[in-house]
Amino acid sequence: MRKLWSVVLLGLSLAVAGCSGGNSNTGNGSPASSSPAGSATQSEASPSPQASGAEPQELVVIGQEINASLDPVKPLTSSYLRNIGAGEALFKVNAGGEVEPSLAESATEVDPTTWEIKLRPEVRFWSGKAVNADAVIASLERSKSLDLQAQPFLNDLTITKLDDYTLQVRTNREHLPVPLNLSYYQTIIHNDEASHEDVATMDLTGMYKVTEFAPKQKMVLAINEDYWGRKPTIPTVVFEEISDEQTRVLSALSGRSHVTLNVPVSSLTQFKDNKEVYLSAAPAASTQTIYLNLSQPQLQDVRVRQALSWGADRDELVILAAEGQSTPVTTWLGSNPAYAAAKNAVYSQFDADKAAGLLDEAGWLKESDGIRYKDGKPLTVRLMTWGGDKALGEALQSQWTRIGVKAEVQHGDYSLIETARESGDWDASIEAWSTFGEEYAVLSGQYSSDGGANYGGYKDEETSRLLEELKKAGDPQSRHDLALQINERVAQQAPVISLFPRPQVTAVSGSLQGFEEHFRQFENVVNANLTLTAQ
Amino acid sequence: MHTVLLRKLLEALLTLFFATLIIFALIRLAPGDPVRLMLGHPGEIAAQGTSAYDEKVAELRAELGLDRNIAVQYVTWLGRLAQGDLGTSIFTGKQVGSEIAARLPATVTLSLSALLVQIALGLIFGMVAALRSGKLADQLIRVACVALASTPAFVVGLVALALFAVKYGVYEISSDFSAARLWLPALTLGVLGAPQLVRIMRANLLTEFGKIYVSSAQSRGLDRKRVVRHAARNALIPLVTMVALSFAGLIGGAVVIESIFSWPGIGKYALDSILVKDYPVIQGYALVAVLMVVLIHFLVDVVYSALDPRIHHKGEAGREEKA
Repeated sequence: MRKLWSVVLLGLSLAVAGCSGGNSNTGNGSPASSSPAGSATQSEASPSPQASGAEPQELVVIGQEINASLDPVKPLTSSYLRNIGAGEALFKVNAGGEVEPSLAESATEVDPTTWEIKLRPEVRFWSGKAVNADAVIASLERSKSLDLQAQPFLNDLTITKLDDYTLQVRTNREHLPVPLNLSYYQTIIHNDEASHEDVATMDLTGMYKVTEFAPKQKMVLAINEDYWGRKPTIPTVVFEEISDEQTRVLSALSGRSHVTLNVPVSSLTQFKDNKEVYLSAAPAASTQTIYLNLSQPQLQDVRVRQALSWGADRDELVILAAEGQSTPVTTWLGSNPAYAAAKNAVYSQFDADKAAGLLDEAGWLKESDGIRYKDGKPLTVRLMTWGGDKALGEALQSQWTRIGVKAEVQHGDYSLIETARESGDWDASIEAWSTFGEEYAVLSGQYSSDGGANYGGYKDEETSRLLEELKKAGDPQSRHDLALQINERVAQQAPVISLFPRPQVTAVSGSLQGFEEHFRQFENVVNANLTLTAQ
Repeated sequence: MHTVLLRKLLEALLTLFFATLIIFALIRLAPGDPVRLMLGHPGEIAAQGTSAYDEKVAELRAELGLDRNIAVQYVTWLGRLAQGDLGTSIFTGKQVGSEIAARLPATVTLSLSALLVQIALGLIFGMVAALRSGKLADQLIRVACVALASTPAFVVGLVALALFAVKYGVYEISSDFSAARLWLPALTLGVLGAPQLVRIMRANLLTEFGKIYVSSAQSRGLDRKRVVRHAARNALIPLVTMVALSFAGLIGGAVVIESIFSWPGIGKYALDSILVKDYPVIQGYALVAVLMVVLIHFLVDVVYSALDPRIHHKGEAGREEKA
């Protein structure tokens, strides 16, 4: 028996020793740690703050996911790189929704299809290479050819060099807002000659340089001493992935993370009496939308679709499914800060009687079981949900049941929705696309007959005519008006039912100053004004 | 002896072969296209016309060999396996073998530590329950075992984090593989797995206590401690199998605990990969898990044959009788 205990003790010692080796963490009182996955971790020697005698400070940002790669052209990688201060595009969008120069100095519309962009001569990549016209063109060309998600922003542009620091951009359509297109994270400027497979060789322009990277686990960054703009003051940034949402919440509550992204709305009560962490809930510019399959017989009648929209109590949905962290919108563009007028258009308020009247008119009559029937068939809607939308689906099920619709929620993986769409065997599903962007691009993707998000097969002559007009419209006011007209026309035809901007909750430590709320928070966390103070 | 070992080895290889078939088929039966999941949406803004997206999907499917007949894909995978190549991750583009090897130390460290906790708890509380059979201590241990065995791992994990990380501030929630972060997931996993060992230890000890050699030793006035020590030694033999299987289970099944504690082992890697239908990683992970179980079973059989020659002889006697 004594031998057995000796083996147990020896084993424990070995286990502890097995994971105790490695780098010492530069964090505030963090225990010694080795980055994980051994050889999967790439790191570059960086001076330890302790060695220089300075007070070690690190900003810890926790997200549901971090990048699997360092190459900006890999799917979504550029959003994480921009979020954490490593990557920059020529322009950026501020919290008010306005486009501002970033790596570019200015942009001028020379004629309806030509823009001139001046670059900042002082900007350098981390390697020291100049970010001149050649480098920018090469970077954007690389993104265009390798990143599918960059194509909607770059396909309509032909970029040429006028001089070392001036670009000429020709557009396929008149009055295309080129600075807006070049503000998306998919267009971040990177050195096309560098290998972006390794922290030692990757080459971007941001205020922070990546010094350590474990795919989908952790990224450590240090200040870029040669940064062209205002340098940040926090020496180190740690960006970590904690995929379990409750663990993420506990990380924020424990005080370890300074910024915790993607806090689930179901966990908001846990922060109620916490004085050390506050919640930032800037509404995202993306509308939670029910997409209806217009090839299903019961949904081909516009009155049924309108009834479903009138029968959705959006105020109640915001409370039940978003814990009050959003505001109702009745039409799709309502979540875009520039289209506030669209918030209450068409379906001004919840009206169950109107919904019932429309269904009666369409021949769907209520029977003793409370469900509406037509030709002996019940009025059914199978609503597919995924991710955190289960509560939303159940709330809608309850509301639609009240107007006599036999609603069923099918919650599962997103791939189930994709598979159902491919087979055509679905009635309704929930999704939230961005409503922020160039009006024609945004609306045609949703409502033109070949739009990528036109899942339900919506085809309407009036909508198509208005889209064509919008495509050719020159001045911003007429574009704005046409976008509103299209938005209203679609709401009346109801191929989709808009509910509320997707809640976007971030937990921020009280010890962090300078955090800026943004309607695209997922790519706007790190800025040069951030400072940390002891709580 | 050699014949028995050879037979066991053949059985193990056959199990592995069928496992590869089942793993490969089941993954492909699950809905979802890994290529579309990797590419994500066609864009931040839904594009008009999706031909470029569809072309890219087709190009990637061809590049990854996913457009080929499923039988051809299986044979190709088997061929690579035979050369020790688990394939390349669709999502990260990295070698699955090296990714698993890089994460294995974290999982093995956690599993070993949890196993030691399980053994310690199993032996101590199993013995106490047997020695106090029918009394209050035995009842309490039984209630605790039932409660732990019926509580989901994620509940215990989250409660542990809420207590030690949030309330007492003695545990750091991060994604690092470090000694300072090992104790809580190891303890949680160990405590969750201990009830089985406690009950088996108790049952084995009570069986031993009922045997003639124990009563004759007691009637001859042998010290109680020495009697218990002898009985415990005999009761430990069947426990070896349980412990070995428990270890195999821990290596392949610590997925929930690794996810809750953000422990960078193969469990979390597998879970992330399942969400994006990364076929090569899921196949690699499942195969490694099966391999561990098969290997441990094989080793247990070998150790048993060596430790207890009766098992080996019984097999031979049986064959002789049949002949």
